[in-house]
Amino acid sequence: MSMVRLVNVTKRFRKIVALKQINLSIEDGEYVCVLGPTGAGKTTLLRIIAGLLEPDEGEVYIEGKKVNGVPPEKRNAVYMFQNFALFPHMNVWQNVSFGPVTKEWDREKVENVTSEILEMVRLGDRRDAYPYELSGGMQQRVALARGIAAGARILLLDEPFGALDARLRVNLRTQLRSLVKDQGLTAIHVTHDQEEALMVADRIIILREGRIEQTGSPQEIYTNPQSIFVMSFVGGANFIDGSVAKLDSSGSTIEIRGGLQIRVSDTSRRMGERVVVAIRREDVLLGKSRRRGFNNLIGEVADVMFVGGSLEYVVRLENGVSILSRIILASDSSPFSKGEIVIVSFHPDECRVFPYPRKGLLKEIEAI
Amino acid sequence: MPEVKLVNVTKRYGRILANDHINLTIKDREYVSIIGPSGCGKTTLIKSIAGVIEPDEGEIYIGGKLVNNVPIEDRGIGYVFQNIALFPHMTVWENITYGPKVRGYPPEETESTAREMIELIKVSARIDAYPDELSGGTQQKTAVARALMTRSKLLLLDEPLGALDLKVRAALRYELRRIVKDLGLTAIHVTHDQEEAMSISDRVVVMRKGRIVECGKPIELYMSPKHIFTANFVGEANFLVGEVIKITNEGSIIEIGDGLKIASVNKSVRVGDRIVAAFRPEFAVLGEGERESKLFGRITSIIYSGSLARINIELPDGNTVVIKRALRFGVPLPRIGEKVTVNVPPENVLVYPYPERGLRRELSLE
Repeated sequence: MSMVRLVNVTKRFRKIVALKQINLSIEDGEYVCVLGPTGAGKTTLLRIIAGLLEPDEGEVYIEGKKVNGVPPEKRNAVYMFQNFALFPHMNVWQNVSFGPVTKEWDREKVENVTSEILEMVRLGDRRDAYPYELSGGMQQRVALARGIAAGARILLLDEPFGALDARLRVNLRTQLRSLVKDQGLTAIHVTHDQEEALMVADRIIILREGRIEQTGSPQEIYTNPQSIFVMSFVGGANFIDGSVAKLDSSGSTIEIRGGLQIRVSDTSRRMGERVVVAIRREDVLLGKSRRRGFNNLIGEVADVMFVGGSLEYVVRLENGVSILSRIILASDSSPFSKGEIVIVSFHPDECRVFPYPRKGLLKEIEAI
Repeated sequence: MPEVKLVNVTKRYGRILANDHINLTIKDREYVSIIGPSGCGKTTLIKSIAGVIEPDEGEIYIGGKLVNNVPIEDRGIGYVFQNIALFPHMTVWENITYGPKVRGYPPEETESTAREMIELIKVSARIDAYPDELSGGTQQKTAVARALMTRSKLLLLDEPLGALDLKVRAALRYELRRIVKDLGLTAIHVTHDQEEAMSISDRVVVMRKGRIVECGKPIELYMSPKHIFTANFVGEANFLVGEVIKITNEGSIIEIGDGLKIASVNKSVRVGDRIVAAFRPEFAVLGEGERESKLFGRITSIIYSGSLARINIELPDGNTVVIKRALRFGVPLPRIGEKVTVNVPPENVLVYPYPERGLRRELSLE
């Protein structure tokens, strides 16, 4: 049985349609990330599941029961948002045991449940601390513990690490996932951080302008993006404008600016069609010699940047097009320097081909 | 020329030392980022440079001039902060030209500078738009342009991209660096995002508990951090506690226990020293390596994250090491449960003395 199910959910804010006919089913024990840019409708979706917003149309089911009109506290779901609110005048113990106490459980049970959950979030030794004495990461864990102690089976996490330090975020996200899995909880985690989603989710739902653009396992989304938007948003890529100049059984040849040609294995487009060729930055190799069976283009290194354990090269091709290549730092790789002439190689199998978007390429990939 | 020099800068809040005798020189035209965990004093430091906060002790020099008692508006700086502070009732053009106008600068000069700035930040098409009609990224670029209207050569950026979406941030950091370099500015940038600092800066300052842990070029901090805290804070690392058992011509051999050994090129240690060996996940590969190195275990999980696979390996002593591998066409990954040998080139094995306060506390970010 699905834990959470949405049927044709639509939500409008005046003239803006925040969610359009969303259909979605989340299984018991699943860790789902909802990913999308600002304004995609992610928070609205979560708030509707939490019961903090009512949809204009459609139904919301939790554990098979329709919950439209059911208040948030009766939904077995805990909503955690970016600026988590702990009771400032209560210590850790009091915050976490708040739910059990209000349920009028006997004292021993309250004690046991609270201690167990505090151990679980590794705050057993901070039970007497007040929120202001704790770091952001610890406060976050208290909020989580409080929700679980109150009996929540579904965690609704709205940018749970948004307010935290980047390095701390990386630690906490894996901890959070293990906690959810160990306790058999169901998590719906909203984020705009594609790296976070790729790392923690069993399944990713990509929202764009109130609609589901694609859903799939992190690996499916990454290796088989169905649109330029998804490929650009998750992982990013080089997008090159061109048209189909040759088509045969083993692939096609795309002519790009300046008459340069790119060989791709894709055969789904028509002769003469305007297309966009997409190549992941990490699939673009740089070297001093041509590679057999690859596309080989000549370019000049225009800039080198250091990005999270990799070097990212901007290489200007002869036709003026810039191509990005990301090369993981390893002891055997010798870096290229600015101004150096290099051969840019990528394999025809690693080129994806999309039809040229109706509203233009920039609209699909633009971030700013 | 805006060289910035801090001498013994100290700031206390009650009993807490927010900045503890900071000495730092930022060269003319240098792009320097300051990073560190929450509460390390990075924001206090940039506010002291800006003149928003007066330090309790120490001197601040900008372009060779002592500025301790000089008010913020006379320090010749452009200041941009996280919460985009554009005037909501003014257009992009009005926002950018407002400062010079109230200061009574010649209109022709203001106009030409404004045109130049607008060109630079690539918002020419939007000069008549109001802030609420612009994306967060464009608003923040406008704020940068406004800060630069004073023609100041020193730009202070306090979490300038903090309020923006990750993807926008990634795009804007290149823009920001380009603007600073094109105009020949000196930039001091405070961020909680290590990756941002590493990709944008000429030099990165790592702070912790009010002090500077170390400074260096991004690649130096990544490849050979001097301090164990930096090794953990800037990028990911595996840490193994062990004892030096042998010094060879090539370096040292470290025993980790349970039959595990690892070789490092580091020769500055002595036999018997208790140390922590560290290596980055991307520098290790599966397979036999250096003769004296013996690092093996069992694969417990493989996590895909985009183009990378993170392989977790449980060592016989119960510790786990992570290695990262790029996913390549046609190259198969090992299986979960498989017994493997981990090969870390000795030049990528960093060695630190075992911290007095214990390893966990030393690495703690909280």
